[in-house]
Amino acid sequence: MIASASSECSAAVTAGAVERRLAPSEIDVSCRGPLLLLFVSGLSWLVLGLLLALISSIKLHAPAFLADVPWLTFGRLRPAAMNAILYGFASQTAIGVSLWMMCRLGRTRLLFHTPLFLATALWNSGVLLGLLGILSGGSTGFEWLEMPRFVSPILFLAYALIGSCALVTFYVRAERSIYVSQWYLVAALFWFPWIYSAANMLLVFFPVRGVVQSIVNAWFTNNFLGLWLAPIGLGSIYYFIPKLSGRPLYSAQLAAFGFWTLALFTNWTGLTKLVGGPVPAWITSASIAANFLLVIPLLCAAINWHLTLRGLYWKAKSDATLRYIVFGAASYLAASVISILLGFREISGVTHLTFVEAAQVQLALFGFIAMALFGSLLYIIPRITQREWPSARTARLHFRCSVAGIILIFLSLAAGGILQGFGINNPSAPFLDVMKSTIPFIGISTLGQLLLVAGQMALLWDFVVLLREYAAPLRKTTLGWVMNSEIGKGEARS
Amino acid sequence: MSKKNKKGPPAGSTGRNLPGAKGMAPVAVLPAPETEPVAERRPIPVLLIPLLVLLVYVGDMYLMDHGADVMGKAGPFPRQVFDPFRSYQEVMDRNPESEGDKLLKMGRARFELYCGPCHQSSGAGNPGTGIPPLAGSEWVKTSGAGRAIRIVLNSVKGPIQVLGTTFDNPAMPPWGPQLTDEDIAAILSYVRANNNWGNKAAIVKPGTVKQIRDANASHSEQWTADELLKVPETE
Amino acid sequence: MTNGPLLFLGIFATLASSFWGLVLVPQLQLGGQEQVTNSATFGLYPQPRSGSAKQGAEIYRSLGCVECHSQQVRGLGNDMARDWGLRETVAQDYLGDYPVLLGSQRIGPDLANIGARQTNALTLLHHLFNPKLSAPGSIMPPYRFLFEEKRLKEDEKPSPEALVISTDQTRSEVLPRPEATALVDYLLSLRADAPLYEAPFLKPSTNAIGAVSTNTVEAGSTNAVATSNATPAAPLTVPPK
Repeated sequence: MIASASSECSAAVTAGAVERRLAPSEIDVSCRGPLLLLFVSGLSWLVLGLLLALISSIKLHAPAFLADVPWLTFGRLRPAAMNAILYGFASQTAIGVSLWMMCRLGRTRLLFHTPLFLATALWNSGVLLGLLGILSGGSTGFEWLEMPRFVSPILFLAYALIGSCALVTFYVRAERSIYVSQWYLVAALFWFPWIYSAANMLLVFFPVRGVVQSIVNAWFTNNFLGLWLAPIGLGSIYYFIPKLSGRPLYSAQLAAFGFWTLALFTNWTGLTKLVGGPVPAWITSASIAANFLLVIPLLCAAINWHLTLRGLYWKAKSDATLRYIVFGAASYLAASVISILLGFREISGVTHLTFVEAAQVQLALFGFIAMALFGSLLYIIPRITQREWPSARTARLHFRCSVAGIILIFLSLAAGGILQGFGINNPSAPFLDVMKSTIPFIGISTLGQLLLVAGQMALLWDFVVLLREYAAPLRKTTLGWVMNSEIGKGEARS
Repeated sequence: MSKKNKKGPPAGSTGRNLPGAKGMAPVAVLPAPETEPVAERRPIPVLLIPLLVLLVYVGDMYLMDHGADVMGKAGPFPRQVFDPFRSYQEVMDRNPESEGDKLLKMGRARFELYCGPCHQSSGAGNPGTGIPPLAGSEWVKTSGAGRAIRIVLNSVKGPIQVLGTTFDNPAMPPWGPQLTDEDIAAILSYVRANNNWGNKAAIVKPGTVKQIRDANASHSEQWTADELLKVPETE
Repeated sequence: MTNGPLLFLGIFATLASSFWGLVLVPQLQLGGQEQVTNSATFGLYPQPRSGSAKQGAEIYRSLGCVECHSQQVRGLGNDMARDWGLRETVAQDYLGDYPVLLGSQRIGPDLANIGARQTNALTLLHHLFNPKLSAPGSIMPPYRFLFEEKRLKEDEKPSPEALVISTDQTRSEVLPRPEATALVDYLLSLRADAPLYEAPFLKPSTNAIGAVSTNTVEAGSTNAVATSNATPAAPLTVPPK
């Protein structure tokens, strides 16, 4: 049936004149191969990255743990974990989700399977090399750009392939009107290569001097989260809220207003990371000003989502994807409000360089981006494989573990960080005592890490089971061929 | 975009569910009609616009007040202003001009006016026409400024040896009647502490000049080199 | 909003604005900074690092020390009261660094001025070998892989730079590898204590010695930070078991 449908359709395409809308399932099936590869490798990197993060979290309260292995020293594990999560999981999964949304919203098939497979393989080998580089001591020392310098061209090339496939998919879309999510996706797909190449050029290949490095680095890390991962997360929230609630989005104008204010202000906020640091005050002030202007896009998103979902929040109880999306949306709002607060000089004087900032990043990265991506995966994977998730229990377990883990990590790091910040600012408290007082909180966050990684392992396991089932008929066919050619060898053995 | 797009088979019913999937509980029932999301056209809440204007104004004021320093002495967006300072003026206030700094600044101007024409701005003097150098001169670099003060007050008559050269007839006027104690202190501070000339001696305070002027009030002659050498170097 | 090109133009313009304002303008403003005359020592500031200290900087980067140690004395907060520096650090202090490692976490103390706080190389080596020895209860991991244990022959005397000497039957000593020595050289080179106009000291001095400089300190006041540490200069000796 599928085969006949697609041949029919390709006939229509060659004819060129027939106006025929592709069925969603046809689009889904066309996405299958590249997306499955992107998702399975993304989830694997996530599990690996979280395991590394777990070890590094343990090392904070047991410094002697694995201390004699240079490859697993704290200063290498942490960036390795972060890079695995950012480049291996978040970027890769976000690319997959945005490719799918591009096809669905544009009513086009996903073309270019070979370049996409190639690019995904390239991206994954780049991430692997990068992690090995960091663990063996080749880190560049720049936050979120730690991978050694030979890796960035590989990643950039892989991205150039994927990004151009995605943009061409957008360009050839059959549905000409552009939905809100597409704004975010197109923007992210265009912003990422700019910030990534600019940061690499100015920091690694033709380095600028002095603190300008820190300025570029802060601009990059902020934009990596705010202009690359966040727009894709927002795109999926804007996609799934109307879709799953069965209502149209409350207001397109409001969404446009929110989009442009977000696009303009977010990329100016990065230098709040250097408030009080060795950069001229006007630079950080400009960032702080942009930072509280973010209240506008935040309000736009909150109003739009709430008015679309009003009275339908109960649907999240039965709808797994909506549950994730609502949690992700709430985390987005919370993480943004916290980030606005942390930017102010008065607050930054206490919280800067403490665990509070780590807590905010964790909330944004896992609470918002990862949860929005999980929600999308839960929706997309059964459709592209045309198979249900094997176990409802595992899916529930994943949600509970993730939510509990994220909340534990966030609260404990935030509380520990506030303690740390006030302690460091009190000159009569010895530094070591201040740090020791935060250890119990680090312990709780380790517990959260454990929950989080357990949940992800369950999800990956479920996904692998689904893939095995999906591949079973294929294997059966292959096996049949082998048996036929080898004249009943297998039967004799059984 | 059409909201009534109900084409295509329900995603779960394409007939490819093979026996392997049986016995597993489905997570969620896939909704049969798949429609892509659309947005309604509604105006934005009117309060958002004034809020945006207000925040832009507040942000602008914040920037002006925290480092932008548009009317400041170092120009707009100065690179010398770091937290916790808000303007270049605050940085200047935290670098109070010491007495020495004031003397040096004043000394430079006085030197260029009264001394520079002969001794040159570079302090090299003009040995060819009988004007001794000040840069590196042993008469200037003494630990105390007593000798130099006397020379300025009453002048000196030759012969006098400076940096290995003998000057027989230095034609310097006595500046005592013309310059105040503060002027002389400033000039000598500038001469003695001028790093660019290689001089690193201490500054001279006006009180010292007054002391020496009063002590030698009866002395109206030019000094000779021998007389000056009898003055202890540390005075 | 269905106009693709307009959408694209807007997307381009928004990022271009911050690229211009937060990357290019700061680069134009700070990228051309030069060394300045240090009015306390009359040398240039910042001085280039020695070869060994440069290698140490590479070790520092490679081990990811920046994950726990910041290198910035902040103008906000209370860093100076904590004796982490006489003044805040400013752009001038980082001219010679690559990469500039300002740090994003303070799990350990700030190191922008460690070379002035702690001038004893042996103390730093001890701290790297076993932090719990010099700072009981420290949460810093021991970097034993930067050291090597060497068996001593029958009548061989322990080296003067040995950290730990065990005197039991298998006589041995612990020696720093070149990496550890280089790292310590780097740490000793971390001093942000030259007087700078834009970063006045907490207690401004009044006596001037430089004629053309505007911000001046008493000669020798920069040494006030260099508190001598009371940690053992002699190697620790482990008694026979």
